[in-house]
Amino acid sequence: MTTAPAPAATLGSEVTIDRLSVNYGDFTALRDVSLTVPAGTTTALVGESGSGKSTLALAAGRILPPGASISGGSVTVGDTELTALRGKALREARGHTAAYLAQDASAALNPVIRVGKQIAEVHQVRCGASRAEAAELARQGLADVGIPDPDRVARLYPGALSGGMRQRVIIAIALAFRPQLLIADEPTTALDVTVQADILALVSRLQQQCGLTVIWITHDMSVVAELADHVAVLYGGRLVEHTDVLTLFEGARHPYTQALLTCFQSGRFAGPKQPFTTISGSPPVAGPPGGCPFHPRCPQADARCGTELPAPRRVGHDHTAACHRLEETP
Amino acid sequence: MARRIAVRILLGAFTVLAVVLLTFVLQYVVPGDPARSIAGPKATPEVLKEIRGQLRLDDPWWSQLGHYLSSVLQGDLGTSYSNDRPVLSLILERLPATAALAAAALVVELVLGGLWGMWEALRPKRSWLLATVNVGLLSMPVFSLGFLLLLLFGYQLPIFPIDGGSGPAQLVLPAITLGLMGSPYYANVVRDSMREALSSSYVRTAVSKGLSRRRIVSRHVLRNIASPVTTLIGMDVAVFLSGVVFVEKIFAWPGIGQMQTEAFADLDRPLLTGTVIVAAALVVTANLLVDLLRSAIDPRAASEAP
Amino acid sequence: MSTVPVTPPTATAPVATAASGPRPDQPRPAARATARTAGRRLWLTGLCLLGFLVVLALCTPLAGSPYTIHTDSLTSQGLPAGVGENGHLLGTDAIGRDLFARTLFGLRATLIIALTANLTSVALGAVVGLVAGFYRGWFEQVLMRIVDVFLSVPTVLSGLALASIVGRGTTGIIIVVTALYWAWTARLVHGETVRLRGRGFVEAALAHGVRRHTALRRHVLPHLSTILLNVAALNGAAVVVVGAGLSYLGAGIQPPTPELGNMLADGSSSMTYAPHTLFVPLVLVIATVLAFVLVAEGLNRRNPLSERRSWLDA
Repeated sequence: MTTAPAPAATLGSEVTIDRLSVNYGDFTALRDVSLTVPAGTTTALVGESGSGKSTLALAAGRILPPGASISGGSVTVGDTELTALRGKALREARGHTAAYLAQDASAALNPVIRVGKQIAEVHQVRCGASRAEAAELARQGLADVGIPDPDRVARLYPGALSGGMRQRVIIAIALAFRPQLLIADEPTTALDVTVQADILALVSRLQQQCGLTVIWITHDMSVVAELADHVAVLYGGRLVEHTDVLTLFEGARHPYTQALLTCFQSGRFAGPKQPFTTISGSPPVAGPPGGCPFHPRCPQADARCGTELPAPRRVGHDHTAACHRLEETP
Repeated sequence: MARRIAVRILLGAFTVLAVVLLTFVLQYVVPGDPARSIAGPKATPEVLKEIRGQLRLDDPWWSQLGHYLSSVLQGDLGTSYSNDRPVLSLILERLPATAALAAAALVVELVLGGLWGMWEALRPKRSWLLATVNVGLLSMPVFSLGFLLLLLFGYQLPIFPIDGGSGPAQLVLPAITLGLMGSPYYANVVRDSMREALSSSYVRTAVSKGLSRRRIVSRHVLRNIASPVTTLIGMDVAVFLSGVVFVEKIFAWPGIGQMQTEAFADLDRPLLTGTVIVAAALVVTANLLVDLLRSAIDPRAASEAP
Repeated sequence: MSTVPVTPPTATAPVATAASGPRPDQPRPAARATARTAGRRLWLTGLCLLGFLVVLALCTPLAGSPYTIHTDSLTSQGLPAGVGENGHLLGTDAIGRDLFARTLFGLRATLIIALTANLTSVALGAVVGLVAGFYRGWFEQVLMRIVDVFLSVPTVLSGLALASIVGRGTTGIIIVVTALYWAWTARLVHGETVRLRGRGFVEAALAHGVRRHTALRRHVLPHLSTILLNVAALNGAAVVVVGAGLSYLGAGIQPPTPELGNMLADGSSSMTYAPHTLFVPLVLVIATVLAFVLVAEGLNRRNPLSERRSWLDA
């Protein structure tokens, strides 16, 4: 563990994901993913589109879309085994145990309900606050996420807010639960760079203050570097590498992670005329191939990779990777 | 917002004016002598000439148009050929009966169509029975349904009186006919807009807040479908004003639809065109009101282009 | 970190795109395919029904001459349906005319009016909507205001007024129905054209110097054809109802020439003692409307919106 700042108040709990599998009908989106997020830390989930990172986040928040189902494994937040909950218990655990920050802030707010009301509703339903108390708490929540003039903003409809403001409102809603786990599904993708920086700074500050446990989904390695304590790399619905953030940037072991990092660095540091680096081939669409899901695109693949699924192996302190050829790579 | 309302009012006024012009053009270009229709085939040339003078039929067309426009603007839609009374007062006399019929039908279709649409939207799968009923009602011309209900509940099981009166008991069958006809449209709009809301990200947010099904539907979904339903009610005014013609004839309900059928039989042109002008004004007003109402319900509607 | 394949970006998929999470409003391919098959079955049924009715209408010479349909008889008034009795397959009407022959002639008249008026109103509306939507400017404003005017007059009320001016009979009613319905198509086609125009491929074509009407023909019309089919089906249903309805009110084809609408008027006055005189034309009107509605509904089923899944089922 690299960073574990002593939080002022610890809100977050440890999160254990154990051999979690998720299916969409016949299609397996996530297979046997195990992951532990220590209390009060941030784990980034990275991977390409279709790698299963959003599915993992939705499953951890127990808000998988209709048609998707958890076909095996468990998610435990603190003492609550989320995957065992049904009905009313599940409803109460949503938000309170694991709150979800959506990517599309403009669509995730109800366009015909005032912003303040959408936050206040959480307080009313969860802790039975009176209308006035809830409204006051909502204003407080808006101020906490750095919204100027919260009294005025609380009376606006989402359509009147900018993208960054809407994302702050979404964060305020999530925080209104005082959740044990905050799941952020690329919440800054749709924002421009300056606003993105503001939001990242806000989440960092909130995390320091309340000791939140965060699962942050992103495809942006600079966000990873800025925010994460640990990184989990997903490919084809499987966890291919899991380590702390320093080890990732200095000694990633899985060929896929290495390729991702090279792409990121070539995009960032290449000179003006340098071509971007890409990974040849494309991620599996119709279900992963046999063997290691990455083998069709892997430069180091041999016959074994095409037939046998590599199990995650410990390759260092707090560092696992799922690859047959680990001995041969530095 | 204020500018948007002003533009809408102007456009509405323009539409009604255009309808007035259209009725004038149609009467002016069409062959046939109104004086003869009034006086009958046996009238003497002197009588015809006198009537032509009264109706200014020998004036140039622009003078007739000016006179027509100014009298319409003053609320004078002319005099009925068949019973020699002002057209506007005839229409206003019949309008309450039609309004009562339309209001009752609106209640029927809102309740029926709304519940039906909501029920279908909340079901995970499409119901074949309801889909069939839906197609069946859509293919049922309004007069067919009227005949069936009339035969069934007017003659075979004489539950409701069909004596041409205008009381609440006589209102039931025509209102059910019109309401049943409209209900599949409401069911479809309610179902589709509710499905859209239920699959939206903001309902996902509501689910992730841990709200109950009932609260999600009543607080987060219904508000979003209020706007399309209101639009449909606005469009319904035009639909009702058409449908009533059949329903009023079949059930002998004394509204403007029945009057229009009679006016057609008598070739009473001032009454026929007067009804069209009043109906167009009603439709335009209704749409204006609906637009204002939508701006009040839905913050998104307020910023739409006029 | 040494053995990473470096390839130019053109041939490969981008590494990381903004991944939207799984959403329920994107139905899975299987569900969409089922909806398409069900839709095809529906509109094919509708088309078959319409074809059957047209063939039935074409059979009028077999059912009798224009003479037989006017032959009334004092002794065979309001006979019920039944083969063998006086050779009247569907019985007779209130004044003893053969109902079967009259119904076939009536169906033919109704179909001629409905199909022609549907064609003329959709064609006129499509041209106006297309021109207004594609060329824009003040021209569009004027055309669409005219469309608004026609949309704000209730159809049947104005249909009666219009019929009193243009006259009765087949041509008259076709003119009336066309005048009442073209604006609906115009508004739909206009909206769709404006939407298509805003799409990249039309703008790109125009930016590359493609002539306007070439862009219209190559890029807009093909997309509109599906919409037009749908509009024609819905409009057809409405036109049948209003065509027959106006005849029922006395504005269409005049008795004694049979038309389903005026047969309804006859039938409604004799329905208490000879209900079949009402039911036979009624069933045929409903069947005609049903044919159009089935086509429209079948085409509509392909719209995946109805297959969207609710978060409440999650």
